[in-house]
Amino acid sequence: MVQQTFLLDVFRSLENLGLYNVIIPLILVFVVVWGVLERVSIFGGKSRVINPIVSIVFAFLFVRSQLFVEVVNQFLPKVGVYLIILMGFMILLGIVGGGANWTAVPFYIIVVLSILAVFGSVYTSLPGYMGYGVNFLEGLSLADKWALILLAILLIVVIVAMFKGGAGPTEFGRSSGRT
Amino acid sequence: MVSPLEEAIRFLERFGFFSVILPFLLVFVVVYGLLEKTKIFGTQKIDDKEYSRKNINAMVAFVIGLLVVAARPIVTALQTSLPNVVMLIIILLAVLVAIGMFWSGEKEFSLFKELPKLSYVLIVVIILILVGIFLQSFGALSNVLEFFYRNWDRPMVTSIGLLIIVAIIIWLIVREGKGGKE
Repeated sequence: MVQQTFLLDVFRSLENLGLYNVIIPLILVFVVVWGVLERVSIFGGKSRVINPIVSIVFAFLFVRSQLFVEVVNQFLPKVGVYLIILMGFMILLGIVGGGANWTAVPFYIIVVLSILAVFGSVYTSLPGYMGYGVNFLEGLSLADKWALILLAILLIVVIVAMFKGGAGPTEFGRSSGRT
Repeated sequence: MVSPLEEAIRFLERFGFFSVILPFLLVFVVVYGLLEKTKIFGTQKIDDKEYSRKNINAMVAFVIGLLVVAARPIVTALQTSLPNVVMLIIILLAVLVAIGMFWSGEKEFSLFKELPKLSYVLIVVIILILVGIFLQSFGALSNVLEFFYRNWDRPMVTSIGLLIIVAIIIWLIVREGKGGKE
């Protein structure tokens, strides 16, 4: 059982006020959309006023539908857990002498793993998960399910075969070049 | 229990903030920004400096904004599609953050530079999702899916599939040719 502390009470009060349902999603969406708009410069160089206004509209429309806010509140902590697990993995590799070569994994594997992890986090955060609402396999026969599984395996094999040739072991982002 | 801030959001909703003010503001700002960027209505010289025609741009954007607010189906589509688009952006951001764990940080992270092929696949997937989101917001996605579901073994759908496959093959051949390969 979680012990009652002063800070926990503070957080509970903030939660009751609507910190997690309104303020944090609003700030998150505002900052993310603003950052993307600033990066891509859709409205040209002189968009110092336009980008924040578009971002705040996006943020308010997002906060309005609490369903999305709930999904984000559910899935972002799961992504955080995934990142912490990755960090633990790296620390363990560092202990056994991995050093800087822990990145000697093909980049596409990391990308595919990350996509799968985030997709899993989102999928398990959707309302109705565990049998209600979003069971897209519902109504399919056993043969259809097997066909889907085989198709998925085939797709993964094709994608791996496509990217295996180009990407070797790399130290991602290091200017010294590939290892 | 509804928190005070959620109650504030509900109050704004009753007031018409989400159905009138925000769609108007969005359309006004986007149209104004694009008109300023493209300078469709030309420029005017003031003290040997060229400026865009801000008054005309603002007026056109204002009128288009008001027209959009008056069209209820479009406002509803905006209200339903934009949160979905934001959700997609947040999911993509989470993917990039997860990939970024393996990034050394010595230079800027760019998925396009590292994995161009996978990036193209991702772009196609994102475009398909966006088309689905906007079709859904206009209530047309279920009709399209139902059409394909009911007619998946009919000549119409199989012809579309065949055309897509042929287009991909032609694109692959043309792309190989551009690269100077035999």
